[in-house]
Amino acid sequence: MKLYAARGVCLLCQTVEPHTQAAFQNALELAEPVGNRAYQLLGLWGWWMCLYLNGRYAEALPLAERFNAVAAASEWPCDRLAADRVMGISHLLLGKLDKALPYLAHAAGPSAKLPRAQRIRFLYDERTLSHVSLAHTLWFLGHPDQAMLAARQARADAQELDHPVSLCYALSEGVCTLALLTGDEALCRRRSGPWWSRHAGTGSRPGRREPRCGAAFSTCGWATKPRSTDASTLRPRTSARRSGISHSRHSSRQSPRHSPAAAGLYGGARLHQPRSRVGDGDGGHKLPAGAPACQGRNPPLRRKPVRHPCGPSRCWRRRALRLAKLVTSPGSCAALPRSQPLRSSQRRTAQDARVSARPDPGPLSPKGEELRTSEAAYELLEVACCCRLATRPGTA
Amino acid sequence: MPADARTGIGAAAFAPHLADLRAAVAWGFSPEGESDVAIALTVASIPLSMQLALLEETLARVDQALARLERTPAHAASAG
Repeated sequence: MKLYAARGVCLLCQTVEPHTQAAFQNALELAEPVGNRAYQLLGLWGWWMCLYLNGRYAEALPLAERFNAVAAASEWPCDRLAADRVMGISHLLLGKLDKALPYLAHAAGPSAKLPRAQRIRFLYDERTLSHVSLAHTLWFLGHPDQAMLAARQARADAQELDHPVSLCYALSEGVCTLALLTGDEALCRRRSGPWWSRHAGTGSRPGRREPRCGAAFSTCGWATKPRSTDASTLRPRTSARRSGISHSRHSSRQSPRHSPAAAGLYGGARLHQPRSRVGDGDGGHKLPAGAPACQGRNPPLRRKPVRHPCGPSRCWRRRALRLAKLVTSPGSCAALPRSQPLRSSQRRTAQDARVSARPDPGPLSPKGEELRTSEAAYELLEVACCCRLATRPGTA
Repeated sequence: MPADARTGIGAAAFAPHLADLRAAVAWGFSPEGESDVAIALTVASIPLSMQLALLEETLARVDQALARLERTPAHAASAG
């Protein structure tokens, strides 16, 4: 039972394939006859995670209800809070926001003060996870300010706990996502640049994209197909290599997070009709018919540029390069074929290397200021690198 | 060693013994060793290994333990 559960958890961090689910199911089968609730919950949670990460949301909800039933009899408060979170996320993924909200609000509520050991019940900090999902729900319900507060609270929870994995989750799924959904248009364009130029800036349909939604969903890993009128055609945008997650995790045509909510919202006619023209100064890009638009109640994008002492892109690239050096093995650069002409990305790297030789301009901005998307993204990168270093075998 | 992560014992207290643990498990699974001891050690070390995020190493040990248990059906029901 414990061996199967451990196998499932280890596999879950690498891949979400049938044998990952089988490991949790084996643990559950062994735990049920002996009445071991802790391992029943672990087995159910792992099984639920496999369904959730592979986009099988309809199957995930019954399993969440089963988890909820077992957790109700648990002596540990953390199990009941985890059950609330699992229920809330299951409803959120099906687009049932009204049902998701009370579960997530309770899981993230002030009553959820638990010792550290109980908070990290299932790999991540429960409060962080709850606040992140609460932020998504609030944003979809049209409360961007509250959503951003919840996302920031997720980050604060993870920082308070000093748990890098949870912090990475809070930044990638909470703060960065919400910052993109509510914030920096310039960064949105930059982050979605390749996608934009491939699908909108060139070709037969120039400008038929909404940059805000496109960037947000692209950064979240997902976007819509051009001219799609069917919400089921939402497809992944992030490659498995880029995300560091195996292909099987991306085997589903639907998002593990946002597309179902968008699809549910779209299918339920919650979203406003696509606007024919969005914003001003964005080139008058039109939404394709049927694309999941941002809700009209959400505020327009902030247009205040991010100010850096020596220019945003230069600072950003310099710090990213420094981090890249940190995580890159020493021999990897030498393996590059020197005789071949440099690609554009390599030319940029070479330029960055020259830039990095200049004196460090210091921190990008004073701490405590309002979060800026680029800073959040930088922070995410830094934490991700730390996590990558920390999880290398033998480094502990 | 804690059998459940919720007991809250920190990994730092046990981390210095990782080398001993690895050596003991390797010996237990070797032809000269006792696989029962190795399996018990593997199970007991799961919370520590998880806290230290030694996932690949844990997975290898767990798979080895499960493979041994499959060869000894009497133990298979417990699987730890």
